[in-house]
Amino acid sequence: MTSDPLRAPPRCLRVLLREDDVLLFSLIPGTGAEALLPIVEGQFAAADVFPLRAVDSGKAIAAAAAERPEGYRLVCGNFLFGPYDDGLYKHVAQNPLRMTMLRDPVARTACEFREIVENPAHPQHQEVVTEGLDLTQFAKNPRFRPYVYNRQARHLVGATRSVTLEGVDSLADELLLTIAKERLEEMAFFGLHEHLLESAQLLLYTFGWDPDATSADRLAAAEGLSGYGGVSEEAREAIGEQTRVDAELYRLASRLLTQRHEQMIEELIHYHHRWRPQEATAAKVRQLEEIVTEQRDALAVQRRDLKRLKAIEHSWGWRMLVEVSGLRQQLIPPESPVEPLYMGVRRLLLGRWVR
Amino acid sequence: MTARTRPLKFRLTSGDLLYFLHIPKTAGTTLFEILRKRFKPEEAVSAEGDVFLDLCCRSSPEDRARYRLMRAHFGYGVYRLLPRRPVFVTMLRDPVARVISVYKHIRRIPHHRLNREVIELGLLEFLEHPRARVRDLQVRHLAGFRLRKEELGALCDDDLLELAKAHLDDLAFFGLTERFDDSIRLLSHTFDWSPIEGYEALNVAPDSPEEVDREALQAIASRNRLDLALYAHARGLFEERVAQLDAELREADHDQ
Repeated sequence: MTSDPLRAPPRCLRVLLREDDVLLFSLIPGTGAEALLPIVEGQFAAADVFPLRAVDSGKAIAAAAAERPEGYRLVCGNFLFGPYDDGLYKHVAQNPLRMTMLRDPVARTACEFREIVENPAHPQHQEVVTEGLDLTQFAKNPRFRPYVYNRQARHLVGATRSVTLEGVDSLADELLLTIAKERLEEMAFFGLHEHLLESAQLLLYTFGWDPDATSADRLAAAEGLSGYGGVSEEAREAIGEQTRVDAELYRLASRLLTQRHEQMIEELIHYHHRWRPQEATAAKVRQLEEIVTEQRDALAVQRRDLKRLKAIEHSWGWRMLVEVSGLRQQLIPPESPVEPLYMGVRRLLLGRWVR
Repeated sequence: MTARTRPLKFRLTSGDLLYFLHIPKTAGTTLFEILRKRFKPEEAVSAEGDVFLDLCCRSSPEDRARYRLMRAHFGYGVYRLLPRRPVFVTMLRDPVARVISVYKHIRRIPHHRLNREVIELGLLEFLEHPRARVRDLQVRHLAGFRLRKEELGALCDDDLLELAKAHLDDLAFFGLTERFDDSIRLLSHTFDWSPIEGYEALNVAPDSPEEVDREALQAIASRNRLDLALYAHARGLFEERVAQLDAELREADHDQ
């Protein structure tokens, strides 16, 4: 295998989505990626979303692209992407930011089988229903190999130069896995169906989107749904034989998602700590608080004194003194010739109480 | 298998980072100078080793976001360090000529880390030097990251070659040293740049009349079997693209 990405220095999780970026959300059938669609589509205006969800033809893609010369910002669908694809590379974006969802390969296959059975518009519906195939028979039938054989890895590898979708079978398993892993690691974001809430958290964090309060409920409900009935041991074995690369890819994806989720939490904690008050600032705040407390106490003392003074002022003793003082000034005005004599007698009588 | 064609044009967005995967002695220095002129000085960076790793992993997101052109000797796996998939460009060269050029370069540059050890060695002896790095270097660059054998793990040689070819097929641009002028034409057409003229060949050894003996040539070839296969693939692909370029230019002239 190529270098273990779990031992590489962790890359920055956050991705800045610029005005001229295109986000390509690869919806691999049966992975339940649609559960994240409301979150993703809610970030873009309707006109910015590419109108097709699957490849009709290269001409259809060219026509859709021509309808909006300023380009699209979001492409969601079951597209094989690459320089050799059917037109997405040429007409929409050469290096889009990519995201996808993966799922346990057995569950994925079972889910896609159920979608084929329940959807009359599916190209394989008629054949599967007419022949009354069950999941095991579906998985073993060579005609339906493109829907089973390492579907997720092949989707990730995409449109390459020397192979068509069917021709990707000719890639050795090691090589298919290596390239699929690279594609996954290159993606701005990937999630796992079995960890929908964590995936959604990582998605929001990656692009800096605000969480929607209602999304958590919808996601919890979606995670609770298995999307398929139980799988027999025989069907599990039949699918497993054709999805060994997908199984290994899924194991790597699980570990990588866990690592990235933990990294996200660490980064959030680090970000929180950077914005708490510095120790020096906190000390200064405490110092200011002490000063305010002292001033508040002093003010309380002054208020008590003032209250006491007012009480004295209103007392009969004080009123008597004021009356007497007023009478004295009427009888012996200041600077009158008798004033000095009065003051001398006063000192003699009151002694140390008179300043 | 059916070989498909692809569009030549690549529209660089404001967020795209052009990563020049520089394989030594492939006229990369000259190409990097050409690329650098297309960006502001603060948008371009050339680094090696831990300096480059620090740049990718330890600089702030704001610092990383301002770079639009990077050059390093790290291989394709460098995408693991970057927040978004870079736009890869590279140059390839005939493997035998490249190894001979490496040998001459080391002997010519006194401060090269191997100069003192190699200066007294003949070419054949140089090929045996443990740190010479003369074995399938171009495939290793295109397949991996740090070019170490253990990194490329369980892949057999044939799978390694197929991986390098798959990566080469997907690159936005690659050129050939031996077809430098056509490579530059293709480069400017790919990114819709005005025609690039008046470039100067940099870091080139002076013409030397000495010939390389047949034994040395065979020794180099035997150590570069994968590179020779990759180069043959690249030449075929390059010819297709130049033919496609000429056809598109004729069509554009006709439309005007």
